[in-house]
Amino acid sequence: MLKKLSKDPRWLYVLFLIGIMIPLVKPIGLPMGISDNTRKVYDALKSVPADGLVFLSPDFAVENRGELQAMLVVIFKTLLPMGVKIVSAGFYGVSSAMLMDEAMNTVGLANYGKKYGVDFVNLGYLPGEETTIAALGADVHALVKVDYYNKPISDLPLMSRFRRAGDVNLVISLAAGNEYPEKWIRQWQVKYGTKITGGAVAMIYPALLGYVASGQLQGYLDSSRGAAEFEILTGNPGAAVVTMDAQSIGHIIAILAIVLCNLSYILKKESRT
Amino acid sequence: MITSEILLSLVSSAFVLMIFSFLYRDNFWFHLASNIYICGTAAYTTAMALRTLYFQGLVPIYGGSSWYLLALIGSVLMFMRFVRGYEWLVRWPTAALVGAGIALNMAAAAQAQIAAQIVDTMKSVFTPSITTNINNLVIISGVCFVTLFFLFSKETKGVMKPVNRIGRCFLMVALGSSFAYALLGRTSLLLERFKILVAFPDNLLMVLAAALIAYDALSRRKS
Repeated sequence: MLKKLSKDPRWLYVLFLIGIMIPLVKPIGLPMGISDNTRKVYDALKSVPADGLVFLSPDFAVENRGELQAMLVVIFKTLLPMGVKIVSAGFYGVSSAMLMDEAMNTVGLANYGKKYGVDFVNLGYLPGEETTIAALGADVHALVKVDYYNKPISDLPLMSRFRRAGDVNLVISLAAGNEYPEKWIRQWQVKYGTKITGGAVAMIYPALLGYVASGQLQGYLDSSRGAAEFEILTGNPGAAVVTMDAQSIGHIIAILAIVLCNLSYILKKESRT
Repeated sequence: MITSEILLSLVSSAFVLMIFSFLYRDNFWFHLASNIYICGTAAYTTAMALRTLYFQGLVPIYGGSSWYLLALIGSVLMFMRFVRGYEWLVRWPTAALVGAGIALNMAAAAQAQIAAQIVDTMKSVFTPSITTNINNLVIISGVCFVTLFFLFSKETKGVMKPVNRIGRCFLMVALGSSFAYALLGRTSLLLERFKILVAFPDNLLMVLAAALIAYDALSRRKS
């Protein structure tokens, strides 16, 4: 088998695909704990007063949908029943607003008795990254004139109470790059003392742990694993939970492959000497 | 009955399988799917960029905010790199962007990313909890050894040799953790697609793709 694997990596793909497909079809129910970071995010969300204002920023694009969309949906599902008002805008890429729109349709504002413009507003994609984040914190209405659906924001009742960073109780940044939470920290937390939390793709998650430890971020969710933990914690099992068994099996296969490849390398080296 | 949702899901799954077929070997279907993806992305990005230009650039100008004209002129100057003889004009808006960006970033970065992080590294190793003490010791020594590893003005010999080696070990642990997280992320992306592929009727497409690959592999082996 080692010979086959080392000669043709496609056997590894086949092994990996079979390995992850079985638990997807028939879940095994592997145990899953809730990490401290997920609890911190939960506490941060729950600390927002009813009728408080949350700025939800999907700082990711279509290519990160697999890691962060489930997180966006479950955060939405957690905030809406709390009576919290949500304003959203994406700074990462043009598709971020589309993903927010998709999440809104998945959750369904009407299911929670909420109305667009009163309880939730999607400002769409705002270009300019850090400069825009800074400008938004200073004066929202000077920067943004229409929402994602081309409605003037002056016609949306919720926007009358969102004028600057000081009006926001919590920023939630779902980030595909560690620079996004850093931008929020620099432009909103340092200047206005706004609390920041959210979730990130796995690649950048370790880079954000320093900010969580220092208390600059109020916890952070770790990719689909964090989303699954959050789904369990909030009692909204969804898209992330169903993949966790397959995720664990995939990791076991990867670990076995790494061990076997290193073993074969060492054995080859020894047989040569 | 085939609804538009099922049809959309089938189209999406077909594209996923066409892209995945590259793992078997380079083929026409992979190129077709990747080209359609590139076209779609380019079209969407252009449409959204034009929309942004209209609502955030032109509408304020029509509304009387004439100073937005400066930004518009700056944007036009950015395209001067395509006009022979006037390429140098790009430097002006670039300089403005870089200047504003650095100014915005620097003041807050010193506080958020340097001061706050240094303060957080000053941890006590004499707390009542032994595990906390160990964790804090690892953090403090990790920061010190890795910082010393990047001290290039000192030659790696004598006392600096073991210091560098320990620093390198810390870095390798960090890189290993990054790789593991990368694996988690990539598996998540794969699973998000496979969750749809294993469900009916999309799984029929997967069976079809597997049959086609098996047929191709067998016929190539024979020839």
